[in-house]
Amino acid sequence: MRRATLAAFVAAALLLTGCSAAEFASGRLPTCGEAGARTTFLMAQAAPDATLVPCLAPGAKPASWTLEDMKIDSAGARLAFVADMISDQPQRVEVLFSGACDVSGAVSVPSDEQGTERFEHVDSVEGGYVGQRSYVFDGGCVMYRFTAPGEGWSGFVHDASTVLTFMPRAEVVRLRDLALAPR
Amino acid sequence: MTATNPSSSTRSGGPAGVAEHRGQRRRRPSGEPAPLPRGTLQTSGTAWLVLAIGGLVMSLAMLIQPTAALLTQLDTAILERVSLLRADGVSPLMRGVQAFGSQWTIRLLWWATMLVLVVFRRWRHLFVLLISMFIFDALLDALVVLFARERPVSVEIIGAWDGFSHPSRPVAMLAFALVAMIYTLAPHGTARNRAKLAIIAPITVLVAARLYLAVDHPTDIVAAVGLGVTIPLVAFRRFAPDNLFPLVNRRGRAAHLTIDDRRIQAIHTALRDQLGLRLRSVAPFNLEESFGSTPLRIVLDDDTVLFGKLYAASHMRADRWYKLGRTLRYGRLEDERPFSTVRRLVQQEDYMARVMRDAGLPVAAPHGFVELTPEREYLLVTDFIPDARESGDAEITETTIDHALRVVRDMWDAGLAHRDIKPANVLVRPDGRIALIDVFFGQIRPSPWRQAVDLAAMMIVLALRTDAETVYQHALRYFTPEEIAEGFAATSEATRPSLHRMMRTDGRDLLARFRQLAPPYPRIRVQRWSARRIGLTAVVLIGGLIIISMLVSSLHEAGLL
Repeated sequence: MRRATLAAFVAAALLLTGCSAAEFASGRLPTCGEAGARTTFLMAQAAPDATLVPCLAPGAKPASWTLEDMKIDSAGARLAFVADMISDQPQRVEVLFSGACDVSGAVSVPSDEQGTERFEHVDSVEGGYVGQRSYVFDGGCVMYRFTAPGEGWSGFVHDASTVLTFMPRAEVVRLRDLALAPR
Repeated sequence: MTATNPSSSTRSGGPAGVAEHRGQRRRRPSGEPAPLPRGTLQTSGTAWLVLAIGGLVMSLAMLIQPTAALLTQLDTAILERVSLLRADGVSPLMRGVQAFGSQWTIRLLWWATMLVLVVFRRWRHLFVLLISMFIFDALLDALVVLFARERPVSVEIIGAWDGFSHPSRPVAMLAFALVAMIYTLAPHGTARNRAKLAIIAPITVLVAARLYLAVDHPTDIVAAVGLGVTIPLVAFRRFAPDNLFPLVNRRGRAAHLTIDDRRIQAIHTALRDQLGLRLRSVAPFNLEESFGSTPLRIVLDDDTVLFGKLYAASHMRADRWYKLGRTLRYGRLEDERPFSTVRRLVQQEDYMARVMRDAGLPVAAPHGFVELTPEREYLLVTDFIPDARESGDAEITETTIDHALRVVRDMWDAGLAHRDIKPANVLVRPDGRIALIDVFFGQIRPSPWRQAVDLAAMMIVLALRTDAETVYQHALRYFTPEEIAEGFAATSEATRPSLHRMMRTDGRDLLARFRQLAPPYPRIRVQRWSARRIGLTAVVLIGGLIIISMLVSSLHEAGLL
């Protein structure tokens, strides 16, 4: 019995340690709407004055995308996705959400997201795309950092534009209140 | 395996007093606890376990909307009251206090603890610490994501936070690290009780700061303390209990079992019920010479003195690791298979002592063994040899040499081998005759190679206190030159590592001298490669690499690297 308990103890450790924090967190993606309400609310707390909160369009995330890291703290939020992780040239996008960001050196372009200003900064387009896209709005800023080597980078950037979007803060709070309200 | 200075024996058995004591034996009825029941959690451990389960139920209630709202209201009410205490001068101080729960503080505590455990070779504690930490960290990750609780809402947050709030990770990590330190560094008793009181202060201060800064809800903290205290406490009490794995602040020797009041009472009951012996006193005896068991001097109520060897599961595991190491290093070395249970280990020693006694060999007369905890702890009882000295310290006369070599010849003739002949296991009595102890490794119908090694080992033991020439001349009375040559052809560092260490200390190359004295004989190869050895080596290497990579990965995930 004692040996069985010890074996179970070790097996539990092996099984549990096989799961990384990111794997646990992948069950809590900041999806727009009720499904991701808890995470988007925590992100809203990370930038308390931001009028918009970044989120993932429901059902838009390609199957080849994997959440590599998710960190939300009092300084802001960081999400990192990798596409085709097992390929020789995985493509990455980091989403950085905070109260403000530095857009000096970036070029202002018409925004595809309502209530935001969009800035683009291209570091390189040789053999892929490396650059940043920033959305600035009242009380906050979201920056997408692309590292997309290979010829298929434009498709990856297009996917990112489709997957990554915003929710108004008021909607985030409403959904959170809805989640806590007795039914 | 070495016991010390136990008793001599005769074919007829032990002192008359022992026989007189018997007759009061009692069978333990079904359902009655063993003399030393397992139960290692103790009252406080059980209480913490109940509290942790209660906390988990409370946490799970947060997944149900009405109770979640209720608990959040309760949390808010408390935080609002705490926020009334905020003052300009206090807030920076509280932000500084948050450092108690920082990753760097936790890393410092962890690595310091692990370093001490490595230095003092507390491998069991280190193993339990690492495994429980991995489980704890993964459980914490899973719970944090499961509850996905926001930070406090109705009170302004004025401190730094990281991730979801339930359970509070910094509080849980600090509580776990401090409780783990207590169970791995502070010996059982006063030191540990004081340490338990001492850790309340840093945890309380951190909790107060986090509530003041409104970075956690009160229920986050309750759940964190429950987890952080209960998991290491239950893990150490269950898998590294103090009575089996006492903390000893020294290096190099296996820790012996603690002979505390509880164990003494168990020995008293077991000896009375199982062997009909009335115990007056029992005390550790010559611990520094014992590696594989806890030797005891037992005094009965009529002043009869007996020798006891306490064997626990930890000794069996040590034997298993020792044999695995030998197999990897030297190959098969003939039937060095580990024992599967501690009961079988004790049975082997008791049985070998009886066989050797019946063969007329001078061993400590066995009186059987008693069970303290089924399949976990047993006490072997033999006669005690008064005034005998280890051959490494005793005067070795020609009588001693003659008798010792005669004993080896008798073992050969009876088809027996001792297999652990070394100075600590060959006692010299005042009359110059020897007694063999520690027959644990003994074998019936051994291979000729084992018997040859026994002879060479005995000759080296004797020569360590005299000289090779004298011992060789005496050996010729009982063995042919070819038999002696075979012994030294079969002996190497692999077969008797402890004897080789002694020869190095002695300075004389006795092995080479004996080989010169004996006729030429081809060396007997010890290293043997087999499919089992190759497989075992591969499993150990691959397993080691997997464990190391998992260890590094888990430490990284836990933020400790």
